[in-house]
Amino acid sequence: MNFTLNSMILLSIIMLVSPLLYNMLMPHKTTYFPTYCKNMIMMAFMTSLPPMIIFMLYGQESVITNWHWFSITTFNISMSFKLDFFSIIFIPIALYDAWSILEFSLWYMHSDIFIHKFFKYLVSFLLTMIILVSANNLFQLFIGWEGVGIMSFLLIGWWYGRTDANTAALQAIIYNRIGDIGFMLTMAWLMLNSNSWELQNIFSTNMDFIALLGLIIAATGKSAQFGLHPWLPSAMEGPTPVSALLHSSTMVVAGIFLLIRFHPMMENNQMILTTILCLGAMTTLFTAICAITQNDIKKIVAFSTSSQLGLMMVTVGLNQPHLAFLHICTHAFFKAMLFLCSGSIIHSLNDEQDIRKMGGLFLILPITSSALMTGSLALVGTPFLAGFYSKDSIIEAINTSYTNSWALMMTLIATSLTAIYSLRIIYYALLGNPRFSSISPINENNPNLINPIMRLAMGSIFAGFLVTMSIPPMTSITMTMPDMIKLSALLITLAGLAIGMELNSFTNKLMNSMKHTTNFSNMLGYFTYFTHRIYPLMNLYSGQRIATMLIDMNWYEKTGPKGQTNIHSSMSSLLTSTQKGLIKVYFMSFLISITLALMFASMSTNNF
Amino acid sequence: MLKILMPTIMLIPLTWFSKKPWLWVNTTSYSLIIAISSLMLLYHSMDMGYNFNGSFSMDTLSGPLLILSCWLLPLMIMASQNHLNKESLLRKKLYITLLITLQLSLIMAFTSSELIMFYILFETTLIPTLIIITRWGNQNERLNAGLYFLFYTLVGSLPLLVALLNLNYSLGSMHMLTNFLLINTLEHSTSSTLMWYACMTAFMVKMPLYGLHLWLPKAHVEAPIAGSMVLAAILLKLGGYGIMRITTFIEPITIQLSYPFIILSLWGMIMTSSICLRQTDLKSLIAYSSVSHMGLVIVAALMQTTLSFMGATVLMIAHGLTSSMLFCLANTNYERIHSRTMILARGLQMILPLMCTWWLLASLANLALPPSINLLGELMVIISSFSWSNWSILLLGLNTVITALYTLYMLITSQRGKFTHHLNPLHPTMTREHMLMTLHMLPLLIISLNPKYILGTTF
Amino acid sequence: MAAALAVGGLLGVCSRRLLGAARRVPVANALRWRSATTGAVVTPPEVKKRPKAPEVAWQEDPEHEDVNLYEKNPDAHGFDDDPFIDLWNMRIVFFLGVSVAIVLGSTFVAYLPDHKMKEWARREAEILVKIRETQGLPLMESNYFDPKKIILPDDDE
Repeated sequence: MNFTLNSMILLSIIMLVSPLLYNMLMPHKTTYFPTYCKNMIMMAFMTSLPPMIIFMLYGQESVITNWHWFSITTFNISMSFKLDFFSIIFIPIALYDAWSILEFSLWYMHSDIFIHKFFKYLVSFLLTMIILVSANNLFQLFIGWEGVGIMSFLLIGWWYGRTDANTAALQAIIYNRIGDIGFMLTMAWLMLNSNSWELQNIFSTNMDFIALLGLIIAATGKSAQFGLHPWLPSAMEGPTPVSALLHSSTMVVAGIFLLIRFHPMMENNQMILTTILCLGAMTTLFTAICAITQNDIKKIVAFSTSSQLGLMMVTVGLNQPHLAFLHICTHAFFKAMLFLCSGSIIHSLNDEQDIRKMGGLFLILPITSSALMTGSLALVGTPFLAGFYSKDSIIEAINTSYTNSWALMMTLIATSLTAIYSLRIIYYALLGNPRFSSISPINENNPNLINPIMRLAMGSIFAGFLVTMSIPPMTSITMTMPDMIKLSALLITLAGLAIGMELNSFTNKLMNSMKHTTNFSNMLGYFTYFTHRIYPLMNLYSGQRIATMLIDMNWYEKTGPKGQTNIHSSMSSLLTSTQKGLIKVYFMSFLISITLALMFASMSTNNF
Repeated sequence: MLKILMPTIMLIPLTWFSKKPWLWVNTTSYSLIIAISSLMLLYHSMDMGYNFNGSFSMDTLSGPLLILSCWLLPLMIMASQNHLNKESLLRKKLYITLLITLQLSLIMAFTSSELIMFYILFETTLIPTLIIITRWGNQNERLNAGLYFLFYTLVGSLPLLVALLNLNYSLGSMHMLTNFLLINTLEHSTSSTLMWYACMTAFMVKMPLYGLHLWLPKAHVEAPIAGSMVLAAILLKLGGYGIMRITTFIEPITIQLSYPFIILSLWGMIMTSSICLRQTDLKSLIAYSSVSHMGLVIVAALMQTTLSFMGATVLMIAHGLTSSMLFCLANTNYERIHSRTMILARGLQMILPLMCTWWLLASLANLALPPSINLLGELMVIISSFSWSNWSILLLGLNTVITALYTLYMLITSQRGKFTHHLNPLHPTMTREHMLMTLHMLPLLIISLNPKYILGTTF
Repeated sequence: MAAALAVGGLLGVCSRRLLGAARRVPVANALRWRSATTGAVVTPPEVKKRPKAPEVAWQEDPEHEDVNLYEKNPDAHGFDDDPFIDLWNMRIVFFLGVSVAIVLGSTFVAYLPDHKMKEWARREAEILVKIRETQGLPLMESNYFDPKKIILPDDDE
């Protein structure tokens, strides 16, 4: 059983490597390369299913350690994979998503001449993601961690001729790097205190606040939590498949995943849990507020992703890591699908992303519209769709817990805002009258478009049920509670829907009274206006004025070489002026020296 | 030892007796063979060095650096092939001879077991480098750069000579491999402090320490490609090597006296990195990034722990290959655009896609992407300085962020963005250039697979 | 007289300004006037232009000729003008650089004997640990040798 589990997982990883090898060995065979990639990922998904089934039936977990990299005295670094609950469940889900998204990219990117390169990047990204998820070793985790960051840099900057794309790519990498400081901090702490980076050894040490704080910083950077969140909406500059794969379902959950991995270290540290809880609550509310006034369809979905990431963070902070993981799994399906739907809409409307210029799409894009509808309903937690199983449980956990009620309140408000922005997309894009250009090339008959959306729609409907049914609950869940609390998730969502409906009808009636109230939300809380202006300006200004001009070109240059030159040249000119053959000068020096000598002589005789 | 030295000496007659068409072929292939045979030196059966003879020895610290300098000679020759194209045969031969002399003195410097001998060879390397910079540099400022280069290094290293003579007098031997047997502890006194400074300054200037680094950007910017390569790859490492060698002679006051230097280089890393952010000159940017990375090596070498010595050694090798490759890349741009200004060469990904791949790989190595050995080195330094003081993680972390920033700034400015139209007569890349990058990149990747050979003496 | 004095005074007051103007106006050298009180002819001192700093010709690359090797030889590899030498230089570098140095070199390094005998030492240590575990001894002791087995000389010797 163990053998099957290990070899199947390794086989699916090898399948992911094979497109890269193929491209390396036969770089000119690019015509069928995208299809090959897609098929290979599909195969990898199929291959990763048996381990999942084995795990569900027998609870089989395993650790593979197979290649010893090097060791420093007793500190070993090896290549090792941890196949436990989290990785065995997540790998098939990530592959399923990737399979659909790659198929979608066949349609979406078909006119790009570098489509093979795009697929190669996506496959490399997926590989690093799998490394991240299955790593049993902090160093290997870091390889995946940085790998997904760099692949996201390359993929966001895919249209490298555009300044915006380059800026967004750079932004993503900077915010991620700031998070990496935390990761490095934890690595350093662990090496000094636990002398191992293997997870099983780490779990036997007692990590203190600093080390865990490093993990939180890392997760904040990668999962776009409040403070380091602005890169995620900017990352929407990348192609839509990239947004679907990286910035909704896989890469951005890596931070949450890290915290879930390390939850045994945190579950008894209330300080850390509260930090996580507050951070998550702040993120989920703030980004939900930002989402409600966005007009770019991708930006709305991006902010909603950020909000959901905050919700996952809250769940980790509630000490319910398995629930957070469940939300990662269900979220992957419907969020990827929402992105694919928006991609389909954008493509059909000739690259129009503004929801104010859509409308009435349910008539002409029926499949996309129904999928978008399903996805949004799953997102708001409609009973028995995927989102319900995780979200409802999270809200119940929130309602039955007695930690920081302020944070919990914020989360509940954010949950109702979810309904508002989801409704907003539906209301503007799908309902009403068409407001787009009448010559838009609308066509959704391509199977490469329909199949992935349908597949993910199936996932959005059934995944929650399947996952919850097949996996025994890892943490105790409160089963009994008052009716109001049990129904609160639904009630606040419905309230949100009602408010959203009201607000949407406001906007149709040209009521200007609300004009300034939306500014905060519309300008993203003025956050980027400070951080993206002041810090770079300060940094660049000090780089120019202080580091380069003041210190390097003035202090060091003037006190060093230039100063020396000046001193020497003035000294030598002084000395040469005395040696011009003028008899006056010689007499004078003679006189002075004689006088001095006589003075000293007389002084010394006096002393005697 | 003679297996490396004699062939290197014989490279000179080979250069001078080669016929014109075969000059490059002969020297490149012969120096490659020397580099290959130098791989033998990686073998260490025991945790000790080899004594080749009375005055030459080698251990796991000097071995990798030695191989690196052997490996760099063919690369330098290949890199200079284009810009020497118009020179006369005599000058080509002279140039190659200078490079060979440089390699010769570097090999002897890394293998000499006597500190006085090391000092002499350390100074010897200046002469060919100086001639390369001041004769073959591109602009008039090269003379100024040569002046800076020479004076900074000489002023720093003259006290070292005095200190070494004094040490030799008091100890009776300056053999590096046996020095730990000699008991000589410097007392806490003014003279010991002066002794320590005298011993350190030469290497601090060579590294260079922040504050003594002014010669480096100038020399790098003005030097021809081979000069930049050897300067970044090996000559700076002489400083790190020297610090690690000499600290055993001047124990135990290093622990106290190194404090300001560690702080200064931690601070200097941030400063030089932020200077990089404002550079418009490609070569200057890479030079300042070298200063920043060498700051890490200084920190590690002064920290004096097992892990930090490993980190310093790894970082020296990794940075040697990476920065040399970045200079080569900058040179390929320069040979096409005839300017080092970054903004003039934008959107090159469009025209030179394979070169863009090399840019990407070199940048990723420079910003220390795992699992490259650059990261391994940086991580080791970060960990050891974290154990030295927890707060240093802030500075080091900030430095990794800024490193990523300026590296990607360099990548984006040169490769991404819109293609500028004055670049139309850009000619395509050559096999030679790709070969050059490959020979930089592959060793870096292969060492990443098995880093234990470059982990130095404390491994 | 009074009028002349007034004019002279005015001129005196204005002279500074006039001088200032003279510095700027190129006709300044021609400017002169007679003082009303003394009758002396006043000419503004000749204003010398500050010598210009010698201009440094800012050039990055003095030999600005592109040699495009592809023009003569479309298969150029960038090594030499002569296609034959070019080809063979490329081949030799590829053979020695990649085939020998990288491939054979890394194989050689990969199969080198135990670096610094680290693995041997580790193996021995693991064996020792196993032995001590089976014997029920503590894994580590401060005494390297069994103190009972060390025969020390008597104190009086």
